Amino acid sequence: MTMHIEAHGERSIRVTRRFAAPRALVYRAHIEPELVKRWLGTTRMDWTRCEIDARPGGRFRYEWSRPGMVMGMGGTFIALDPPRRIVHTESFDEDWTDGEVTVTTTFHAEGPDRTRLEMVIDYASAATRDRVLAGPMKDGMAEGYDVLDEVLPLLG
Amino acid sequence: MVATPDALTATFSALSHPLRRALLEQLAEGKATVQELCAPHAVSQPAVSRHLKVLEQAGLVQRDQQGTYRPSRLEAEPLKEAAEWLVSFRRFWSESYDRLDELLAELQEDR
Repeated sequence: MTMHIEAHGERSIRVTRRFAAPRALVYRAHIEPELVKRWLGTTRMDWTRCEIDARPGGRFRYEWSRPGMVMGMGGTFIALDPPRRIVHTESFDEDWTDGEVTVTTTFHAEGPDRTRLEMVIDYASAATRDRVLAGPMKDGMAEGYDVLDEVLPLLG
Repeated sequence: MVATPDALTATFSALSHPLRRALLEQLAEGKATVQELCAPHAVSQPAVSRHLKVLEQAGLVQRDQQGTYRPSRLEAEPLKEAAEWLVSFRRFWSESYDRLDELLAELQEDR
């Protein structure tokens, strides 16, 4: 199923994705470490740490690594309303978004086995949001993406 | 997630012109002078020089100083950082959600 990324309000983006599963299950897959480790991240790196204290004020910490590189992120839960909504702050260790963002993930039931997930990410400023959105979406940027595919193999 | 947004903007804006992309591909094969870079294109030498300058300012190309022989060479790091950035957001989430589809299907079979 397709993932949509769009601008939302002044300084947020909204990611929308549908899943063929009941929302209670999609919700659980977001807060249980054994489930989160099965899907979140990148195939180019392995999980090295996944800790989730899913209660208001509780922290979470994710780390992935591959030879020569560690990627980490973490944050704090602000509100949990199972199976409807999770609000948390987060930041990546190598930060490019001018600090912490607030993420509101909403799970909408669209039938017994259909869930629409909406993830709204609030950035520190409209300027940061625009730069994040600009990445893969603007015309010149899309071409930039193509050229990376062409040029990177040549770099060896 | 290493590069700053400003550096990424400079990289992508430099990549937005077809001739500049062609020049980068030529330089990926090795150092070259402006004359050598001009050869395959129906474009004047001053035009190629202008585009090289844009690539230099974005940090994608470095020009060696060896008297009158001043070949340009590709500086790969910004390209790698741009690639990492793209991987890290859109791909991060779309690949993750694809795996979540599989996990959810598996969990439902178990019910």
